[in-house]
Amino acid sequence: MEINTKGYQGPVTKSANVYTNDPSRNPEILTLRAFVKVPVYLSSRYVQLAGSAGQTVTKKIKIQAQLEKPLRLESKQFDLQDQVVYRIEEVEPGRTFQVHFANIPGPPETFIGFLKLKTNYPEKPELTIRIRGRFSEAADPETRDSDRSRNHARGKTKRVGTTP
Amino acid sequence: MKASMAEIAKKAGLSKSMVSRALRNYKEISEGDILKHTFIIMNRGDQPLEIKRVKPA
Repeated sequence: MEINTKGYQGPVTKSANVYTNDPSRNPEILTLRAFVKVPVYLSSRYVQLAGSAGQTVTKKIKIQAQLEKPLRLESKQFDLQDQVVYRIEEVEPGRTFQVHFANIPGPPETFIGFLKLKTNYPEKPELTIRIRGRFSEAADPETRDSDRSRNHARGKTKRVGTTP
Repeated sequence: MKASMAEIAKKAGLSKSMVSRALRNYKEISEGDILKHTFIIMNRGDQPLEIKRVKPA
């Protein structure tokens, strides 16, 4: 059994089920376990911003230095300037940071991008946080009600159960 | 006296799989390290042991 731990952090458990003709141990479960040490811990490598168009959604990610030396972070590359804003907050100097993300309210849209941060750690010179956004058409109660009555008049309303 | 699973399997004419160590714990490793381990599955029964399939879980 072989596991590449690139991209993993913290406790990792991987198993394989082996199916044999032995009825008493089917499957036989083989497990590899490890704790993957990283120079910089990220609470998540992904940010998902989802909601209705015009709405502001915020998310934050915690970044923690796992080495003794102080960590410095600076922005390197960001490709969602028109859709997302972010701010790096140093919670504990050189140790703990929070990156706050918020979408810029706009029309219905979906977007995918990333924020790359440069670090002073040669062991981990770059951190990449992937960002995904999905903002759907805002549901207007009046439009929705008039749509429903229009559909009902056309016999398009889906019925659930039986009505007399 | 209780009969072991291997004895029961032998009496019944079955295959009986046995793994020497089904769990391998590497404790602390660095990101990017490749974990490699060979598990040995032995047959303690008296019929051939067949591995039908292996599925990652």
